[in-house]
Amino acid sequence: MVSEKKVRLMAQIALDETKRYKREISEGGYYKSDYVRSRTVSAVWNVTVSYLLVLFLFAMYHADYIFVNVVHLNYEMIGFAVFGIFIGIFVPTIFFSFFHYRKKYARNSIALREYYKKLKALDEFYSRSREEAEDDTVAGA
Amino acid sequence: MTQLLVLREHIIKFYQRFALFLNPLFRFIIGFITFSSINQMIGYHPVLNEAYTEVLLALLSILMPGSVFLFAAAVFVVVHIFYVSNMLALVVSVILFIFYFAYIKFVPAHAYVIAAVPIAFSLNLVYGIPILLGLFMTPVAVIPIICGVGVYYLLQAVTSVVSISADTSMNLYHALQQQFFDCREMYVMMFVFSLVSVLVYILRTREWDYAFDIAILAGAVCNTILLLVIKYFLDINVDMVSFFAGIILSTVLVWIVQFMRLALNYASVEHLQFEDEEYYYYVRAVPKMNVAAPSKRVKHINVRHFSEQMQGMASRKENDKE
Repeated sequence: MVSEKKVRLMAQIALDETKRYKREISEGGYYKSDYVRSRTVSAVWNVTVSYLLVLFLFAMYHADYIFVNVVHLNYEMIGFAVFGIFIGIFVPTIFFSFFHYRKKYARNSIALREYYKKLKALDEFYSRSREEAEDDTVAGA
Repeated sequence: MTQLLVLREHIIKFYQRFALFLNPLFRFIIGFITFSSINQMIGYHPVLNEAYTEVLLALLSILMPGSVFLFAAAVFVVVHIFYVSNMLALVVSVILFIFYFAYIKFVPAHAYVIAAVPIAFSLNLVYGIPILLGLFMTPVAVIPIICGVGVYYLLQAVTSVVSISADTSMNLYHALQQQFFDCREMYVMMFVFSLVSVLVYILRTREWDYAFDIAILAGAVCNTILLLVIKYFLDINVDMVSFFAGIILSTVLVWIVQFMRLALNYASVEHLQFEDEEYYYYVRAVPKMNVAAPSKRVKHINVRHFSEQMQGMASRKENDKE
């Protein structure tokens, strides 16, 4: 016989898996340190690529000047400026990402706890029905 | 009001009943509006700037996930620009990549807002975006609004640079940058929209009766006054008819969206007070307005069946008499 409570639970779990906690579940397999580290590396990579693209746009804008003065450019100063700005972006990115993703992991854990509670309830349903099937007196055989 | 609530219930029921067909239809409409708006703004490529291409891409967008759809729209923009200038296409694609790596990778949901702003500009409904975001989001919404306005004026700068210059070299890039950063209207829009979004957010989080409606109205008034005053002082031309039509239409649309999302009954507000071990609570509970949509049942009276019955009864009576 169809148990309405079980069907409702299964529907909720399916909804969690496909909509509500889709991202949390996909990220839930990590340990906290691994999760924070991988996200921080990803953030640094994204910021680095963006910075290089901005540099590319800047160089393109001043392409005429660069080509004319390619021999006379003060490369040491340019290198320092480029690297200095990069460090200025790099360090806050690491700090911000580290704390942001730590907080996010904690938030994800709360959501996952709710999801796992439903899974556990469903598991209890199955084990109970298995026990009932094995028990002859309940089955009335 | 009751009629509106009944209508709302009917619409919700209708949507729930036909969601399987309505969702693809909505995706098609959004896709069509997106691609036709892009064509309207920068429709340079003759093949892409055709109605059948728009319909075809809109049909394809039914099958695309949201992120792929946004990527397709960005590629569509770049291909249009590539048709008139390789240099400008390179610059625009690099700028879009910067947006992607520096911002959208961190907050993917904001990509929809950034894409919606230029489309709303072309539909003259952009005045509703800051009000809508103030209602649904936090003041962080200011960032995607600014980015969206920036993208729109970047595309405007591309069209104006292409229209005034036949040059294909690096000078186009210089002209584009100059045109983009000299656009005072862009700064006005960014400032006003940010302010309106924050104002709407502040007002809708107050504990007033009709806080959402007040926030929408205040947002619309603030939009109108600030844009008119600042544009007047900066000597920027405003098409009054189009401006007021846009403001009124977008405000009404935002109100409809808000009404469909949440309708509160301020006449039955309840004030509760209770305590636990740590706090004493003063709670103000505003009930949601819900009415049951009346379901009309049409009873069909089968005339033929009725007359047959009558005939049967008459013949039975005659038989009884005999």
